[in-house]
Amino acid sequence: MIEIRKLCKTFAGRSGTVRALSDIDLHIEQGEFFVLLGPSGSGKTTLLRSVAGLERPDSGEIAIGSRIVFSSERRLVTPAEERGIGMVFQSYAIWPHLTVFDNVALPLTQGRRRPGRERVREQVAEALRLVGMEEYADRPAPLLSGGQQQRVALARALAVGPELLLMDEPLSNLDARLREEVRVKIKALVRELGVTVLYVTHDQVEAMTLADRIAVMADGHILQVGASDDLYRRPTSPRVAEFFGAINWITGQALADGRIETEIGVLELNSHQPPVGGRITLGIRPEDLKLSPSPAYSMNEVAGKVCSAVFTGGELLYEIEVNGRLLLARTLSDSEALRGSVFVHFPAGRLALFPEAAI
Amino acid sequence: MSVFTSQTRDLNFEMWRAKSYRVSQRSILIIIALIPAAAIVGLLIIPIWVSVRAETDAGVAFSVGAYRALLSDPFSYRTLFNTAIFSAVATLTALSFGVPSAWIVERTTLPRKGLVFTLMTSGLLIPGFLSAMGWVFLLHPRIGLVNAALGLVVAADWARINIATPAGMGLVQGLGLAPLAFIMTAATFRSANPELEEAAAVHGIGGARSLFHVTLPLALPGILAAAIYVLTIGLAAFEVPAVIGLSNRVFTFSTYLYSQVHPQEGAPRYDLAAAFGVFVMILSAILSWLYFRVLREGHRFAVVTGRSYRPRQVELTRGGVRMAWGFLGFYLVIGQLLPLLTLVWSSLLRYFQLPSAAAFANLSLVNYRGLPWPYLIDGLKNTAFLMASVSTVVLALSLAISWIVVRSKARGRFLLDAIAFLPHAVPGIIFALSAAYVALFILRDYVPIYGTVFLLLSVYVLERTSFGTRMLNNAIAQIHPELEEAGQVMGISLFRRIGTILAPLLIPACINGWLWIALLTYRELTIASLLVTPDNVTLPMVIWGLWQSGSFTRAAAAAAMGLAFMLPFVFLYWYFSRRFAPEGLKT
Repeated sequence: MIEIRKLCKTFAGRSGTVRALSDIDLHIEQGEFFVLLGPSGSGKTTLLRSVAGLERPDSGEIAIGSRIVFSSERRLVTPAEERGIGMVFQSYAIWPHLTVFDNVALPLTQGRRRPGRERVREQVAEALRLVGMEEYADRPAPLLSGGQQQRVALARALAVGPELLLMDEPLSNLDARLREEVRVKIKALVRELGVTVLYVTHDQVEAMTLADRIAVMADGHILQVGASDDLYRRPTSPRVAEFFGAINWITGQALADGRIETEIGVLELNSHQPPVGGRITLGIRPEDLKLSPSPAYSMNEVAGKVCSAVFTGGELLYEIEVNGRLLLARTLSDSEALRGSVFVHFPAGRLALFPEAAI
Repeated sequence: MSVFTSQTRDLNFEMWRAKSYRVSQRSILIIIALIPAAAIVGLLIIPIWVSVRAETDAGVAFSVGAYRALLSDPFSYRTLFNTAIFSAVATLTALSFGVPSAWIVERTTLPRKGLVFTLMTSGLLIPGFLSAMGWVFLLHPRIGLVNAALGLVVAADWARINIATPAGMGLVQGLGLAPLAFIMTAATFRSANPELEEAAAVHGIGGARSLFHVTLPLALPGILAAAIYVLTIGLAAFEVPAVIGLSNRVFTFSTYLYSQVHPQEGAPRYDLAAAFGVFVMILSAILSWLYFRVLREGHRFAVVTGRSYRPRQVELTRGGVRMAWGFLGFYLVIGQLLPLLTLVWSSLLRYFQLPSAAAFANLSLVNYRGLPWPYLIDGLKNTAFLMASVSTVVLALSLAISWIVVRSKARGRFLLDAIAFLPHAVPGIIFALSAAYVALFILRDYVPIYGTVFLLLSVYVLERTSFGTRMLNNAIAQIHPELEEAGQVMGISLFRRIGTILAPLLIPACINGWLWIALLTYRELTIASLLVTPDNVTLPMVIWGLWQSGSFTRAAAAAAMGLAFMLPFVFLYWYFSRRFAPEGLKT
């Protein structure tokens, strides 16, 4: 549905130029829910706006469906008006001088294709029904709450019947509880309509809940593309690993027999993990550490001391000292918190392995 | 297979579509914006060109003759000296009324400040030439009401106030410019950080000490900037010197220019006028540069921060309130109301008289009956046409320019913005001089625009575009760009976006701006003085013409009618501006 090749964009900033996008390659399938995830300044919004046609890249190519909409080589730019997409903006961009109905109807009455009045009414009604706002059709836009504006923005984007829906942090202005609720609804709605979605967010939980696939971006590069569990379990770089939540880093040296001598002891790896020579870095997530009051595993287990245990409801958060290193661990809070000496097990399959230089 | 390597037929179609779009709406908007910009640049180059060309037998040649003539003539030095005194006195007068008023309104607990704010703002709309006429009736050495009253007490000549001097005219001009000083310094006082004064108060510095050691020094860059701005305007002011000075042969820069183009005897000397104009343009450029510099320095003081707060307000005692009202009332009555009332009073008398029982008995409408009515109605028609057309065209052009400056990423947009701002810094009389020259000597054979109302329309529009773009730049910047982008992504073309999204959101600002431009057009005399002929006369020119011909009381009658016509628009402006008054000043 979307194909992007070698896309570059630089901005002239106060302190020199900033590379917002460097050599981005991306392929998004028809009907896919695709999320661009990254911290602010990573280039994700620039990429989205380039697809929309609101930003003109310096070089590269973009195709939507079977149409090339941007190509620096062919000196071709299809203006945003001609790309036939729907978009939900971060600010919602609800036109304050119009009613809910007119907000949804304006792209139909003033846009590229202008269906007859009856048809417009049907399409608007259908779009409002999809988001559950049909009762508010006559309400002036300034009288809407944030959540309602968000729904109108979605209805407006869907009413033009786009094959591609772009969403730029559409939930970041909603409060936490509403956000969770809307997330589920958006996911169900776009699945029902079969529309392809390109979605920008900086919230990894949001990305993981919504996406079929996620592209993690930083400094104008795509670091990794994959499904949520892929990115969480098999990050290809420490930055991606860190982006998806807390992780313990342990440095070490590969031994001749494939095991690794680390600052907390010798650890064994899975046989299918690629061999890495020299100095390396191991990452392991807090919930993957197994704690027990007495030795329980035959390998990859070291003795440590509980420095603190914090009860956070469903979980217990530990700080554990092992050989002078502090490690974070997380367990379900179904049993009493451990105290004093503990044994920490590092499951070989959960260890993520990187060359040390990568950090 | 990748999209990029397949389908060439579709691709060609897309390319064609993409290109055909690019020469359409956005380009049209840019062309619309470039027309006034090019005209402004042209009108500024003309005086330079005119000042250095000489017609010889061999054709047109480069010559510094005009500058040499200007520099060797004592009259130019006297004019320069007069202009210096005139603008200095005007600036001082404007500041000494404007700054304290601004402080009172912004920084004390005076009740009903909104009213003061409205009255002071409207002061900018009072036609300067009408106030000047009123002051002549009050203070003319022979015929002035005040001097006549003084004559009853002391017979000697030294006991007369003469306003037909550079300083006297400066005083009158300064009273008219006080609202400008007020508005500019009010902004400075409004944005003052209260914590700086609170710090002084906590450390034992209060009251007047705090005012003179903390508040005023912090506001100084703002006040200085206002002073430079007022000085720039005063330097080129035409109306007051034209009403008071011309008949007494006391010339300042603008009236010098006027008299070179409309000499009482001999041929017009466009070259001399242009040379003097170039000199003043350079002076204005230096002053504008200073103005922006001072403003920038002021920001270093960090009086303005992004945080929003209410400035500390000085609690006024009952006596303080009386003093404040006394000061404001003195200015509003003496500076604004008295000359206009005198004008109306004089219009009802055959000859000047102090108000007395006998004078009241002599009141009549004879001056009104004696007005050249057909001429007056012509002027009124043209003025009405100009008010409606200038405001509308200015807003349309400014919308195009401001959209390109604020929203597009077109190269050179900041240059476009600077050019649109230029008429603000360059005296209007210079624009008029250029326009007269272009219409008479360059366009004459192609576009016979001289002597038509359309010449006035064009020059007024160029002059006011600086205001229109300032206003719309701000207004558009307040509108979230995503509101337009939403329309764009969903297929709405540029013109339709402007029509259905941007324009409706700009309406409040536009109503205000439209009325403001219409009112300034109504009172315009400076540009008209060089461009009006009997065929395109405007109302201010009718009034001024009567005055110049010596029919003072009939001029007063025409002026009184002019004021009456203006009032409904002023009320309309009040009604709308009150809805958009600065926060905390609404009444």
